[in-house]
Amino acid sequence: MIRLPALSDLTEGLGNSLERFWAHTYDGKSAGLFRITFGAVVLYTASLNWVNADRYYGADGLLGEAATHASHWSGWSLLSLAPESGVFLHGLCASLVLASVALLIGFFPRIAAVIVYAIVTSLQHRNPYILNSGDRLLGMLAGLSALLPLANRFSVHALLRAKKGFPNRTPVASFGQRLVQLQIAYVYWFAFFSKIRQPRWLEGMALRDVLASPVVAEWPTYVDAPWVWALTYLTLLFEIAFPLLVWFRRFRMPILLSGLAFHTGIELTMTIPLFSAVMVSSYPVFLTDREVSVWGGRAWQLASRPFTRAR
Amino acid sequence: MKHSPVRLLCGAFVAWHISCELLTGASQPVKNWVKPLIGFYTDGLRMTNTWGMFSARPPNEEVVVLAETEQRRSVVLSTNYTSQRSGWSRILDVRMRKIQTYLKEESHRKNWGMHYLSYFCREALVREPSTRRVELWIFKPAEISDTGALVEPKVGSRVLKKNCTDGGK
Repeated sequence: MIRLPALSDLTEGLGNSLERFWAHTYDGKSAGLFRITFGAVVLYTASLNWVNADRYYGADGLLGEAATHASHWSGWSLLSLAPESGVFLHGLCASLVLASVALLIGFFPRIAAVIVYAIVTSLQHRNPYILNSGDRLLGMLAGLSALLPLANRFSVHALLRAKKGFPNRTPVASFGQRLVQLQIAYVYWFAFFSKIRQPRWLEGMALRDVLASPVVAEWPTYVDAPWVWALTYLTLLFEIAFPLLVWFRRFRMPILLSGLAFHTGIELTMTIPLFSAVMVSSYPVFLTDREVSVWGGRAWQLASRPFTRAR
Repeated sequence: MKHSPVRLLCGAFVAWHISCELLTGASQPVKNWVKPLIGFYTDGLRMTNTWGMFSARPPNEEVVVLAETEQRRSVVLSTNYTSQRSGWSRILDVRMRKIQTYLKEESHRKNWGMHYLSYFCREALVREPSTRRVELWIFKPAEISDTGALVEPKVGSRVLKKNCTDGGK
């Protein structure tokens, strides 16, 4: 006769697993690396937003301020405080650039992340029609990243602490990092389940349409070769494999490298600004502190090898 | 510590965010039902989204803004086709494709199409003071349908126009 485990054992086991997943402590190396990669993407976006500010968001730009009143949430924008003011708009764009620099170098990075989130969201409300999914993800990640220990490692604060001889900050619970991880995994999960409901994806022909579209393809070409069929299914395979396998140490590196290849392909062949960069910049959150140390060390060795040889 | 208020607050936020994200991706009737409750977070704070990523077939129509001068000369001011954009604009200005493609939908043209053309009136007048009006055209190219049949191209149609004699106001 099979003896079933007691309900109390099951709930305790589940509780412990949840505890391990959400509240294990780490010293913030991966959060620090994420801050740098994500901060660089935010800085790039913020700079381009500023260059195009008058056209995208100005009172005399593509959309008059009145055109955005149709949206119920248009008032949830800092720009609604002074909708006609070019000075205020440029002040916000300058603040966004400064906040992204602060995020990149780790100078009060959590406050910087909140400022980035507030300004990016405000700009999105002002002109929602220029946005790609990457913009939306960037805003969301900026908001969620304020929950991460962004200042613990590789930051101005960490440098100052080290100079003064203070020890590193104490390890913190990982719940913020888990939330960002789940958010990224969910993007792939959702994309997979949206695609498998479409006949073109099931037939393996969807990428032919995408690569032939003169609107989204960088070099629109009608390709009728078997590799398009293979790429379509590989896309589906990657999008379901990522959210399932990235949690396991043995699969993590291959899946992250596949993601890097996948997004490089998107970036090179399609005109979807930002999305790939934001996704790849978020990958460090999937690494453990130890993985950052080991792989970072190896990468550093590889990068510095030519210089040590020269000496 | 295990049940500290901070930990409970963190747990509640995680549950809230995940629920909102899942509900954003739910069917339209479900979304309509929960919108009054979670709308401030999903749309106001813009903390959730859906991620179709080309699950639907990408658009093919060319949406073009043309300016017509007093000499009846037509000049292309902007297009959503990538191949016709300069390398510099691909780096500096990566968002025009998106906004202009929206204008193939009549609802968008009704809501903000004239604002969009007003901007191009002002732009065109700076470059060419004899600009009389700007127009929005849509061209449907030939394509292969889902069944493999050739769909013939459609003659371009003008869907919106704006006189620039008022200076693009």
